[in-house]
Amino acid sequence: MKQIININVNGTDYEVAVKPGTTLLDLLREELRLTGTKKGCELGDCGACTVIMNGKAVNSCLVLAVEADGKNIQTIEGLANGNEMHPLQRAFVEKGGIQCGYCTPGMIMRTKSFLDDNPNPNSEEIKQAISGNLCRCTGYTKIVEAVETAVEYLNGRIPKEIEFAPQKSALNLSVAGKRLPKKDAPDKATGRAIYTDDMVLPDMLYGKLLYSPHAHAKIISIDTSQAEALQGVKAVLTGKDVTDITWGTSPPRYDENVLAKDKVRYVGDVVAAVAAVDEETCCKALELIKVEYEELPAVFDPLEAMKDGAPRLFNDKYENNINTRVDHHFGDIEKGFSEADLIKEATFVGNRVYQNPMEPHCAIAEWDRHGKVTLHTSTQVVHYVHHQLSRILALPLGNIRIIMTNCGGGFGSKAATNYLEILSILLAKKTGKPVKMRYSREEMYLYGRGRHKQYITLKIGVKKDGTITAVQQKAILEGGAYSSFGIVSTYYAGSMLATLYKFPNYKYDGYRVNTNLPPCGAMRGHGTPFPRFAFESLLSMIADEIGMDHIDIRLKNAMTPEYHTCNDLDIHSCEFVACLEKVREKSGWDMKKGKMPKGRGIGIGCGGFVSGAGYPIYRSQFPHSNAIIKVEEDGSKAVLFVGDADIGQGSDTVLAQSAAEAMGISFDRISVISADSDITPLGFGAYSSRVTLMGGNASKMAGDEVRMKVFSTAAKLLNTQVEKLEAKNNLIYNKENPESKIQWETAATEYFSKNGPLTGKGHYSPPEGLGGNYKGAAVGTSPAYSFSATVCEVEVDMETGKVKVLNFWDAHDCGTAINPMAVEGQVEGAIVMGMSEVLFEDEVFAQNGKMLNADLHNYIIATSADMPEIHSTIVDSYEPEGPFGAKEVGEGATLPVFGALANAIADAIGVRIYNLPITPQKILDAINSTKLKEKAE
Amino acid sequence: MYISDFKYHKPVSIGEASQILEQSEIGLPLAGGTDLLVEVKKGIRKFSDLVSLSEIPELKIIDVDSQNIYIGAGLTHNGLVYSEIIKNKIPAFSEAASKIGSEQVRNTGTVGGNLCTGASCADTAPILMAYNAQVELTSHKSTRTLPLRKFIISHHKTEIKKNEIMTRIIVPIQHKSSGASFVKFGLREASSISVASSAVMIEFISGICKNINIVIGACAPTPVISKNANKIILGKTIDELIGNSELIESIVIAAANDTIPIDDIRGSAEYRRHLVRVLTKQALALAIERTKILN
Repeated sequence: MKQIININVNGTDYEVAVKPGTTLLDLLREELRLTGTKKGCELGDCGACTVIMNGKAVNSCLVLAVEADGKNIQTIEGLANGNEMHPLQRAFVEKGGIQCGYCTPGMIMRTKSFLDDNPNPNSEEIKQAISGNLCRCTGYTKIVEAVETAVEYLNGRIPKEIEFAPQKSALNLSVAGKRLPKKDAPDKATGRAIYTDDMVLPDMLYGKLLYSPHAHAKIISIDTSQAEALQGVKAVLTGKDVTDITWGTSPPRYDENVLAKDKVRYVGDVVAAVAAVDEETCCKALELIKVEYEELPAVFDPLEAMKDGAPRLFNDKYENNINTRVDHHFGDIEKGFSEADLIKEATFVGNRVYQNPMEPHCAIAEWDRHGKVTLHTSTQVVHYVHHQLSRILALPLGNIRIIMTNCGGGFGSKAATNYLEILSILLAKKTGKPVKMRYSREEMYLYGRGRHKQYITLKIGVKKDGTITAVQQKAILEGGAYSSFGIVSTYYAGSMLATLYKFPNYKYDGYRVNTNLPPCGAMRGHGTPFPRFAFESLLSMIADEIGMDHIDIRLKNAMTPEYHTCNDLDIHSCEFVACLEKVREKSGWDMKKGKMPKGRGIGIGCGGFVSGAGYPIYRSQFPHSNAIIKVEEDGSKAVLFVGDADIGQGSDTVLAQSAAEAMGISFDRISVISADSDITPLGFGAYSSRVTLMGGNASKMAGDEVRMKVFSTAAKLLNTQVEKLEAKNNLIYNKENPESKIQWETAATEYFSKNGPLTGKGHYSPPEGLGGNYKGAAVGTSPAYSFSATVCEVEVDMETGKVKVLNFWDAHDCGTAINPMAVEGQVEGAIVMGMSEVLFEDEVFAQNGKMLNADLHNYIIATSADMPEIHSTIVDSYEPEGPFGAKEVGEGATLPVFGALANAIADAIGVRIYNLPITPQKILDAINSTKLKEKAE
Repeated sequence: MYISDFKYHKPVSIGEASQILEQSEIGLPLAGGTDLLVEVKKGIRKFSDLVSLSEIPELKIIDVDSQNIYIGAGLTHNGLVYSEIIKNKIPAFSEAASKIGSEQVRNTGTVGGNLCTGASCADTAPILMAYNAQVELTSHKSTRTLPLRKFIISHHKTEIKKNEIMTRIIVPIQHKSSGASFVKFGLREASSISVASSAVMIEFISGICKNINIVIGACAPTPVISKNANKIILGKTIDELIGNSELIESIVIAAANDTIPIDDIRGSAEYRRHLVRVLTKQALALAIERTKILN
């Protein structure tokens, strides 16, 4: 029964009737429509829903609305004074403290209550204070800087300017190359940015999914009659009601059903879908669906699953459950090893980790009366969803509109089509009403698509001087029940080893094996972080054996520009050597390595990644990124339309900078509309670290076209030739005589008046013919590669095995940084995420295949209290294929972290741990095992 | 995720709350809700009525007399962290409270709730047991007190009856020559669940240990009073108990052997036993150090 409560929110009194089970969070979001407060975990673990209640920060998901009766609540919406942001909000915007923005409102509210109590905190106090608010994007570094800046503002002081030396390649740029706040940051700081779950359409229904409780079972029968009879239920769908078309991500392996047809393959496989008037009714209906299963033997370990006679997930394909097999041999491995003075082999095991974006997946579907469906969804890749839905629904692309709302982080978890997207559409079709579906945190883990666990046996041969003669890798990827991105992951695991060091002989054997667990997919660094971890670890072990410095052995083999790798990848710009030298210098490597006491260690790791895949996953001849610019008739503003998605990494801002630089206008004169399939031209989206280079080129090209059109008019007005003109900061002038100038908008207005709309279009396709001719040669190709080196310093408690990460010094070759602040944000975020993966994260399953830690309470990720000091450098570099010389940073920044941290720990404790995560318990076991060995000797 | 319908009550007195609980089909008292609402949302707890304790003023009072400190069970963890009385009289309890969950959880969760949830990894219980705390349970018919060590029966199982509310935690005033400490080990630096914890209260008279209480958390279904470690320490001089001696080794080994830990996702039983040795050594040294300060 509803009860009346009186509550004051942001100074306004409300008298509302609520059910006793309604949380304060749901009252704010659903009843009062104050959607700035976010729902991240619903169990008090993430802090996204933090509000201030009677002066104290609380998780509004764990406060009943009836308990807030008579209380004063402050939410993010109440912080700004009209249009003037609170100093905290301003600081978060200016300092890059906001990426996806989903943790931001809670983070800001927690900080507000903290600074009210402690107006002059030091940075340690800040890190402790915000440690109940999880952020997956920023690595907390820029958030702490933002809080420090806010403290200055609030105390009436002027914050110190950050010392920043621009790269050489950015010296002549006026918009690109600048540390500019993200375009979307003010909306995210004030709670005004709309994410999918913040939307409510008129007469909207809710949908929920029924999951298999068994790891492997035949479906004998499903009885939905009781569920359908429940008041409020509008539709129930099971396997028999949906298409037989299977779907997935990689075209050769479409092996997922829209709803399970005859069997289920993991705890969490989707069996039925329900639409009802609210989520509660959906959940009750799900309990009324009677499914009779016949349990089958299940297999969870890929090494077991590969054996003859193991239970098969698919009877008609994937013999021995081997879903993907890669057999690559480049050069002559026998010869290579025969030339080596030392051959070393070791086996490394990666962990099963989940991306955990702070925003749970959510989708809303609505059909119009002309047979067209519109889907609002939190996705990284509008194009994949569009393409896949077109197949599943058997509709042309034009009958489907995909709109990416603000996306609260992805890291690969939202890179492909998901069940919510498909089934909200099918439920909306059946009911004739809009349907919203969202995942709980637990459902996110069940849907899965995290990093593949990998078993890597790596063998490297070197000469006495450290020169690598041959590399052999066998990788077994634990795939889970379905293919997802797995084919590509398996190829990437092999191909990307060859881009960082030069070696002529390489053999790679890759196996992706199906198991009765949630499917694995693409996560930041896609397939490559574990092989890179293995390689960086083994290289340092080899250096020790041949008595060589760890950085020297890397310099000896380091990639250099214009190199053709043994697996036919073409490296162009490459400042890897500069990265190594930079971190050596900044970390004080030579003073520290081998000179620190036991328990303290330093290690180096390196990495690099593609700046976008050279070939699309859905084969077509379409340009990979496309852009349109439309200039207002008075020339005052330009709008950039681009299909690529800003998932928090800041691509809208970076693309706007590229386009504005090309046009010659200032940053405040451009806005961006992105990732809406009806409005924006095709863009392949936010995956494979592709947007800065590919979207950037398309945006720059569109900007160039606009500039040339404006120049055609300006040349006439200035009585000169187009070739003599230049445009910067909204002025067009004669290079030879800068006094001869005209306002950009004047020329633009004149252009429009004479010619009609002032628009530009741009597109980018990677160079033709990238890569070799062997099977799988496409994976790993790219127009450009990034390079990075990271030194990590740790302290290990030799009694408990606990690691404290003290410092990371990172140097990244990302070409020209279009937005250095955003680049630092990617590096810092990748370092803390990578550190968290190495030290904390692991999905754990019971013997029956049920996940034991499908929440943020037991699956722990790094908090602000765990963050190290991060010192990042962007080295001078210029990539001719990229816009203004730019290439990638987002995924590549993850790659060096694993090896650097593992090497630092090995250095600190004197023994190496081969299995991730490197937990205190494993460290202690390793320390004890060496003690025993020493005793025995 | 939703909470199924229930009857909500917000009594203003303990007697009223107790009566509602008694008459309810399955009534649960709701304190801060940071544990209970999680269980309710996960569907682990079946219930018909929630009885809010938020409007009962006496649950939020801290009182002191010559014998005891009386802590209202409805005080939040942060209420304890920032209480001058708690900080001065029983600082190790204040420290334990400061290490629970996040700031947001500490602003909402209560000490009574933490004890009544009875989780084996709870951080308030070991130190309160070390301090020899009693808990006061009140119904509309009667009030009883019992030692905390008897209150917690097993993981998530306590002595509380259907119509009872934990009203106060009663901690004896610590003697001047005593010291106490609480040390926990979690896997990350904040918002971490104890993998193991160790609480120590020690008292010396004329340099000889007259009173010792070592309590280990998260290593058995309940916090464990390490009788064997206590036995070794009792009667030893302060000098014998300082430093890295074989005696200290035997104490911490005894403490570890008194536990019955399990393997779970946070650590193996063996690792937990090892942690008990490390943590108890630290906690003991810290507690002894504090006796000097108080002396």
